[in-house]
Amino acid sequence: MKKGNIKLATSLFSYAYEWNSGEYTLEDLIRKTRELNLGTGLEIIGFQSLRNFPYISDEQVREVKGLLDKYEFEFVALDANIDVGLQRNKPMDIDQTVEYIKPQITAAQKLGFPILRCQTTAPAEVYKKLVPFAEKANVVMGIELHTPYSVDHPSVIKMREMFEEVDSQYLGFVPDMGTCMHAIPDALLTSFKEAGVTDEMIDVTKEIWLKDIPTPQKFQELGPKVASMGATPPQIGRLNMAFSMNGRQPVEKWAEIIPWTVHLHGKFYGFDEKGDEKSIDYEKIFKTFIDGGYNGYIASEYEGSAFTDEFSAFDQVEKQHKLFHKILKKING
Amino acid sequence: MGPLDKYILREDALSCNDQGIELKFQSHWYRALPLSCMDFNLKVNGVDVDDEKVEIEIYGKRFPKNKMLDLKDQWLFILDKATVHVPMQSPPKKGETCQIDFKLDLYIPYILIGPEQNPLLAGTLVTKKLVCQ
Repeated sequence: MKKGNIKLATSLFSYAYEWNSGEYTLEDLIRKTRELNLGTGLEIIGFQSLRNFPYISDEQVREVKGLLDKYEFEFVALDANIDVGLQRNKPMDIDQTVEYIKPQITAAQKLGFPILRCQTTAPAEVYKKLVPFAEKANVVMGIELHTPYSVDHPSVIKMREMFEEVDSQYLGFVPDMGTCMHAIPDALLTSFKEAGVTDEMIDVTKEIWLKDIPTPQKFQELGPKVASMGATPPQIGRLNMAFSMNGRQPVEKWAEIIPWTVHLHGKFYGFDEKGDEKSIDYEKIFKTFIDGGYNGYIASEYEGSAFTDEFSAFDQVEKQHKLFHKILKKING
Repeated sequence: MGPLDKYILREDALSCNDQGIELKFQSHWYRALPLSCMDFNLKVNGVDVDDEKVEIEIYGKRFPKNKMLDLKDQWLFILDKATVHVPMQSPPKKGETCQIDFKLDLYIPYILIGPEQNPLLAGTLVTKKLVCQ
C-alpha cells in the first residue's frame, strides 16, 4: 500500500478558555496561530466562533474567508454539533435531525470548508438521508469517533455498514485520538488532586478505567466506591471525566477505517517536562495512519479548558506541534 | 465544573433599580446553546428568589424563567450575556454588596447519557459577593 502523509492543523476549540474570556477577537486567535506557526490548516467550530451559526451572514463569510486567506491557512474542517437533545423533553426524530444538520452543511459550503465534522449523536440513517444534500453542497460529512465511539462500537459498526452500502465520497470518519489512550493523563490527574481527590480515590479510578467494561458501567462502579472513601458529588463528577474523555481502543484498530478517514483530531491534555504526552502514543498513531495510506490533516485539540487554567492554550498547542514535527521527521527521515 | 466557570459572573454582573435586581451571566460551555438547554437557581443574600416572577432576557427579548424549556430557538452566543430580572419589593441600593448563589445548569444537547439517553447535565454553583452597580 502507498504510504500516506499527515499535515498539521489547529482547531480553535483548543482556545476555549482564552476565547470565553472575551479578550480575543477571532482575528487575534487566527493571527496568533499563524505567528506561532501552528500548522497550515485551520478547523473552526461553528457554534463557538460564529454568532447566529449556522445562519451566518455574507459579512461573516467574507470575514472568515478573509482571515484564513490573510494568515495563509487552508480550510480544513468546520465543526457541526448534532444537538438532538435541544429540547430535553422532546428529542429530535430522524427527519428533524436531518433538517437540523442541513443548514450546517450549507454553512460549510458558504465558508469554503470541504469537511463538516459531524457527531455520533445521530444514527447512520440520518447521514444516509443527507448524502444527496452533502453531494450537492460538495461537503464531506466527517463523523467524529470520539470516545466511547471506537471502531467496534455498535453504532460505529452500523455507520461502517452504511458507508459500505452507500459508497459515497461525502461520508467519512474523523477519528479523535482521545479514543485510543493508554493512560489517564497526568495533567488530568493533577487537576483531580487540586479538586481535593485523594491518591487512593485516583488508584480506584485507574483500576476501573483499565477494565474492559462499557463506560456507563464504569460510572456506576466508581461512584459508590469513592463516595465511601469520602468523595463529594463534584469530585465524583471530576473523576468520571477520566472515563468520558479517555478511551482505551488499541491504536492499531484505526487501520480498519483508514480508507474512510477524512480528518484526524489530535486531542491532548498536557506534556511532561520533556515535551512528551505520555497518555497518547502519537508516534504509533502517525505510523498507523501513514502506513495505512491516510492523506490529510491532524488538528490539535487541546482539552485543557475542561479541567485546568494553569497553562496557556497557545503554549500547549505549540508543544504538541513540536512533538508532531519531531515524529514526522523520524518517520519521513 | 471547570475553568470556564470563572466567566459566569463577572464583577459587574449585579445591578439594581427601583423594581428589583438584574444579574448578567455568561454560559460556561465552549459554544452557544439555546435557552432550552439552560436552567438556573438564584439566591440573593441566602434567600431563594421566586421563580414565578423571574424573567430572562437575551438580545432585548424577555421570557419567563419557567418557559425556558421551550426556548429552543433563542440562542445565547458564548461571548454574550443573558440578564436575569428579579422583581423585589425593597431591592438593594447601588453600592450595596449582595451575596449571590447562582446555580447554572446546562443540558448538553449532543452528549446523551444513560439508558434514557438524556442530555448530560453540566451544572455549576457560583457563590460570589457582588456590589450592586
